[in-house]
Amino acid sequence: MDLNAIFQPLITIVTSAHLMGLILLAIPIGMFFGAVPGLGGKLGIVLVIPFVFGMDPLAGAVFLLAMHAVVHTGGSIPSILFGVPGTGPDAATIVDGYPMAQRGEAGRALGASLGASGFGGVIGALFLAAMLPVLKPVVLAFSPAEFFLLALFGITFIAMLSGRSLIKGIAVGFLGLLVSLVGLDPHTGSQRFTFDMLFLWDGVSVIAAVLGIFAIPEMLSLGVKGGAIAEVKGKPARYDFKQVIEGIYDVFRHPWLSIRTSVLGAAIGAIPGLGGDAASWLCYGHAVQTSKNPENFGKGDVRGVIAPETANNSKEGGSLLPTLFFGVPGSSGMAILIGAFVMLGIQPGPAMALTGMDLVWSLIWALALANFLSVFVFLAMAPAFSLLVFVRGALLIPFVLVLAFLGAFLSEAAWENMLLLVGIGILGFFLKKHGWPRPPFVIGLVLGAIAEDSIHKALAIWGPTFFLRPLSLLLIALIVLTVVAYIYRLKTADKSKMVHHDI
Amino acid sequence: MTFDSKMLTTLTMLVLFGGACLLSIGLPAKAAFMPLLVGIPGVLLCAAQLVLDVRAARRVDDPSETAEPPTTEKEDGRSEFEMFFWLGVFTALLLGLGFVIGGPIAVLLFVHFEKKNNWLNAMFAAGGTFAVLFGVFIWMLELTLFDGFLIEALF
Repeated sequence: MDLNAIFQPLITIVTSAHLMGLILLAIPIGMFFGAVPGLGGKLGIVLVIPFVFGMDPLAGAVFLLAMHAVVHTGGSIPSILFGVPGTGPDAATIVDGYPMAQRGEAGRALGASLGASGFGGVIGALFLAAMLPVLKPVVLAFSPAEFFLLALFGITFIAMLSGRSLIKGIAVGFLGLLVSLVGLDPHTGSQRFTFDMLFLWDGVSVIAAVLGIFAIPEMLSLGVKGGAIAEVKGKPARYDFKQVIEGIYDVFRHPWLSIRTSVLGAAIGAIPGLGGDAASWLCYGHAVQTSKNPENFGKGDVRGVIAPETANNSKEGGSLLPTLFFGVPGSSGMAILIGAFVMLGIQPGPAMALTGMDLVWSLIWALALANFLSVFVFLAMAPAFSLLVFVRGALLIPFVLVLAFLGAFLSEAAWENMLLLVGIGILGFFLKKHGWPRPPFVIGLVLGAIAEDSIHKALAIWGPTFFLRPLSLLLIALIVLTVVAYIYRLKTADKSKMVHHDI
Repeated sequence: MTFDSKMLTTLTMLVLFGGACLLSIGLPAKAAFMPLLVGIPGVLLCAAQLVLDVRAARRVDDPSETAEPPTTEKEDGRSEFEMFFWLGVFTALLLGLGFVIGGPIAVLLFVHFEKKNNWLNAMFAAGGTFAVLFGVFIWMLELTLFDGFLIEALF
């Protein structure tokens, strides 16, 4: 094992004031997007894109990942203090966190959530590091045929993950693929869907499209909804810092639970499609099942806070595995992150295993550092964060709109992209309104070029029977299984208990 | 059965896929392959969704249930039309006056007129926007922002 390759990126980060400064800046921003119910990490990444434009790829990626890594740390604040989840996966924290706050232990619950988040995040990064030697030969066994099927697999998974209709999800994913085909065809040089507009010759800007499909619809919806972002009533529970420190110690009073739920969360995160909700609820269930006194759960047991919070942050490390090495995002948040990485000039995929390990190790360390440092940032800023749930939507709309236009323009220094943003934004608004999930669009857009190149190569090498290769058949089986599992889940699940997120 | 925006969204998706397929026919075979490979299943999926939408609309007996949901949810919420109007205002101001001038003006107008805030709040918000656009993007990051067609034509 080349220790230099592993630790050199860590030394580079901690000795660079620029990178450490970016991580320290990313932490409160990420926690802000987590703590304001209704914003979330996906919108956060989309909105900071203009600020990372022109950055060095490593600095930009470290900043975005550090921000994304701590979103759930911030999300636990409204869950515990108000009983309102900051983000979807934070809902499990309410079950025990809110009762703790109601009986005067808000600080302890926040401390436990904070310690568990930091602990889980670091374990998630270590899980990712431990999996690298296993993953490299698997990635290298993939041929162009498999990469085409992986693109379909990714769209199917994300479609299943992010919405209540698989038909709509796959259709939106295919729309993303279609939009990625706009521009000069790489094989024949002919114009494809450009309508003689020069700015489309190089294809549709991923950034303009991502901003259009996410930021514009969110702001239009917020304007229509009006008022504060979340329905929060009452005052936040009072707490002191002694309680917070005691809560952090609670994580280490239950070391095996913390380790088990961290590893379980990271493993769930590595499976595309299971998503954050599954990780936090499964780990909560695990904590209840393995407890000697399960009757305490739901009444304000600190273990009920530790289990979902470790999982929430450790799953981010796990979900980086398929995201970085296969270009298949482990979660819908990672789908947006892929788009941002592409903008920075980082192309997730198998080449990462060969030439991008420096970057991979840098990201692993950034993930671990962000989670560790978030504990201190939280301690310094917690009182301010608890007020974020009252942020009025109207204050955000004009700033976010200007930032979205700015990001679209800066992506290629083309004013036409601003019109593209508006067009995609209006379509995105109606897609959101009528339950068409939008993350598959980003996956299609990002994977489109790879998918086209791969299928042409596969056809040239093996002809039309390329999909009869054993690994290809395995991927086809996985796609079919995904669809069958979705249909089965739909038929058997109790619809009243199904959790859906409007994304 | 009411032809609502739900069905219109599905129909728009169908038209996008169908249009892409039709446009692909005029392309060389290699260039048309992938758009057709994606477009044809897309057409089929959207057609299936349209059938589901139509059947769902027919199943609802009460005509009032098929109507559009209310477009405003709270007292201070706006209609979709108002939000699209504001999107148009932002687009026109940013394209016409550029980011440094148009951005703060757009923010000022939105905060003042739409939220009925006083001028002081609106000017504070506009000043903040100007500070971020000029201070962060032009001064710190040394980026060139769009000047706007009107400004370019005048100066």
